[in-house]
Amino acid sequence: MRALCLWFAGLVLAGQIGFLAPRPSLAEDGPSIVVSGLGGGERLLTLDQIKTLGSAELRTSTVWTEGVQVFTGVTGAQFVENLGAGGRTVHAVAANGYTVVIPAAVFATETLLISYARNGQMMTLRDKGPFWVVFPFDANAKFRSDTYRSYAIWSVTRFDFQ
Amino acid sequence: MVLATASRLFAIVLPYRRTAVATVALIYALLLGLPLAMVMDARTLQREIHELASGDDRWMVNRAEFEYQAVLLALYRAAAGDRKDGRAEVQAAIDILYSRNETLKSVRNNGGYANIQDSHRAAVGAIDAAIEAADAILARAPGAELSSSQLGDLLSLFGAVEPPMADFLRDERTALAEARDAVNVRAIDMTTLLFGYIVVLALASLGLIGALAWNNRKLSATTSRMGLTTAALRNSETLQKLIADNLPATILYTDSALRLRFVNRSAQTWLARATPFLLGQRLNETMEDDLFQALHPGIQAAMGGALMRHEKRLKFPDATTRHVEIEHIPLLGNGGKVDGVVTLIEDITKRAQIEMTMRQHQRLEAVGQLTGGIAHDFNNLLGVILGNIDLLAGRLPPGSGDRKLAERAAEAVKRGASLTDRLLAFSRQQTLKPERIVANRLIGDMAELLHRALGETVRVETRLEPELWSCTVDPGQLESAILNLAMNSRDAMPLGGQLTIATANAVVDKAWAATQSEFTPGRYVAIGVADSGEGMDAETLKRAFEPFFTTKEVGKGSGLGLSMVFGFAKQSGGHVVIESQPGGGTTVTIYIPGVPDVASLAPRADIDNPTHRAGRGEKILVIEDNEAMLEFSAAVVEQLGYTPLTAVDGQAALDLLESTSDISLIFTDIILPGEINGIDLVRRARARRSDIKALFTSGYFDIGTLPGGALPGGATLLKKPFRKVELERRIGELLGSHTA
Repeated sequence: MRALCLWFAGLVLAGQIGFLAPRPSLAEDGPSIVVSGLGGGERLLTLDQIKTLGSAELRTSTVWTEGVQVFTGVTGAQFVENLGAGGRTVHAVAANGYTVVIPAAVFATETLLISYARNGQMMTLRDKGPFWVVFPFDANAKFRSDTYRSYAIWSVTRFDFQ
Repeated sequence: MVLATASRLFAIVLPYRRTAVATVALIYALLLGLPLAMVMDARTLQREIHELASGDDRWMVNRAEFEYQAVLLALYRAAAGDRKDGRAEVQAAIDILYSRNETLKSVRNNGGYANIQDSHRAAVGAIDAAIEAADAILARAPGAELSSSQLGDLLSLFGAVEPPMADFLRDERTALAEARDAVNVRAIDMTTLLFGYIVVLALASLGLIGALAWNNRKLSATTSRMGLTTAALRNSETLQKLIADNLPATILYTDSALRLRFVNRSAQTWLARATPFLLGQRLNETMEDDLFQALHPGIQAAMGGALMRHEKRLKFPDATTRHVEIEHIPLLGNGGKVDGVVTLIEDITKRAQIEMTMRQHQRLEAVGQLTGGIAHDFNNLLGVILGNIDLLAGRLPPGSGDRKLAERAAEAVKRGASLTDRLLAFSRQQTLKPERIVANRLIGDMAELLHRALGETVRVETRLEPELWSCTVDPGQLESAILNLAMNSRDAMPLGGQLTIATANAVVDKAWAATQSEFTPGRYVAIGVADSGEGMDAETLKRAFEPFFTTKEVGKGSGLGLSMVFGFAKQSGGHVVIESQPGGGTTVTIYIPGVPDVASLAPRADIDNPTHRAGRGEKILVIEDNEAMLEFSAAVVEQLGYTPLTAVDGQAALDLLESTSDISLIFTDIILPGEINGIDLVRRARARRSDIKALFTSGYFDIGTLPGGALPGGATLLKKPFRKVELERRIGELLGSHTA
């Protein structure tokens, strides 16, 4: 009975977060992110392409890890600026279909980091990789709120600008 | 030292019991400590409330529920075969579940919810086991699509995770609800606590305020009692000092070591030093040696317990020598020992002088009585001698030498008798032989005699009232009195001048009589003798009637003249009035009771008839140097309905004329002290306002002899003494308001 409920819930969730949407290949082609809502429709960005958008380093602790971590990645501001992305909200989708909605005002800042390395290492799916959205949680109490923690989506594979 | 001072200060400021102070301090410490603890607690509570308020997100973020369902979904999809990369999706979902599970292991162990630790651990362990088994299955067929049996195995593996997951989620929800309830309870508790705190604080404050108010009332009661006592003490001291300072005596208090312990103001003046420089000083250091020598023996004697009193002549600080009475009063302390001596020094110079004058007067009176008695006896003796001489002369042949001797003796006796008459006149005891006479005739007879007696330089003039009343008087004595006054006048005019003898009928009313001593209202015949001589100053005028008082050189006058005139007038039932001004001549008027002829007899009532108010408040300026006279005149003017303004001399009158514009009439004595006389005054007033009316008054009978000459035009003279009705009539005529 319980299993049936979960199954049903799973179906509902899958319908809502669009499992049917195009997805990047996970194993063969290396890490990548699909971006939609740009002028030319959807675009797949490889890790190398993402690295060209900008580079930033963030030292912070998180509630999901032990001790201070060094995250490397591209800031939301650099990401949006270099891709010419617009819109009021960003729908961030993880590899398993989990989705959060981030306001553009939060996304297009220097304090949002789309990280691709932790402590100098690429991140596997089992390490919340290959892409993990993080904030400077230690720098400001604002980021230690549940709202920002919910924005910190890991194993992200897709940004839909709307 | 500082502590002692502080505690004393504290004792003054807060005179409460120490336990009470400690209690209050403790209450306040608690009251302050409690909110501090509450603030700390509130911060924790606030954080917890905040975490719970939007808590779902966090729990969602950290919950494995979604990742678990994502794995199941991927497996179903793969089983349904509608995805070409089903295996990759399954792998990705499992990987993400793995990463979530790792997070749960590291973070949720620190979550602090003890009652969900077991189900949490069970769920995490179940996921771990499922993933481990799944990894083994996937490792057996790398790269290939999963077979349906493999998918079935995987589904059953992950299906087994569901019960512990459900348990965990249920426990989590329960824990969350419980946490929320706890927070709510604590919030309610806190509100209650806060309310209680406020109540306690209010009660404690009220109690403290009450205690303070009670103590303050006690304190202020004590203070005001003390203040009252101090004020009473200060008042008493002030009073004593005031009395001591204002006594007409110098007061010193010297202690047994001869040091000054008290001085009053007079003593400060005498010693020419202020109190602070005198107190505690040795007596001989504070005063000059002669003063010290004058006081010291007495003080020393008083130190032995004796009250010392003596009179001395002392030099005062103003360099005058005064007659003083010194009294040294020993002050006895405990045991009868003398603590010190109070010295009182009283200036009795004036008293001594008065006493001397009194003694002189008494002597004079005694002399007068003696003289009177002797003169009477002597008159009797002279009578016997004269009688016998007459008898003797009758027996001697007329024309013989013996008869001539007897006649000479008789002449001498008669001269002696006239001398005794003069002595008797002075003692008011002379035998008067009054007759009813009209004084005019007597004066007319005297004129020729006076002319000869006064010499060529003195012009004698008589101004006699034709309708003069008769009077009953000793004609010889009246003659003698007039002669006496004429002689005085001659002596007052060494370079010559004018002597005027005048007569008038005078009605003296009560008001006028009151301006003189010993003057009875009634009808009088006034006989005035006026000269244009040097006059008298006020001091001389006062003493003019004193027996033996004279301004003449020794040997030139007896000083009995005016006193004899006065004695005669009084004995005749009359009065004498002197008016004089230095440089302005002297007028002496003798008043003898008059007997009016029947024809001229006015109703007696007019002497003191009721006042007729004729005036309508017109301003009348009254100038008169005799204060009693001024008061009288002003009172009459006021009774008549006018408004009197008064001045005692010409200058004061001019000032009033300057400041008051609507003065209708000037009523002035002709003779005034100072440079401006009545006539000058009216001239000056008319120079400013020509319409101002003037009424003069004078005791002089001949205004022609007055300084300043004739009266200004339109002015009339009211002779002194005047009656109210007369003044009313004259003013009425002048102001045109007389209706009587």
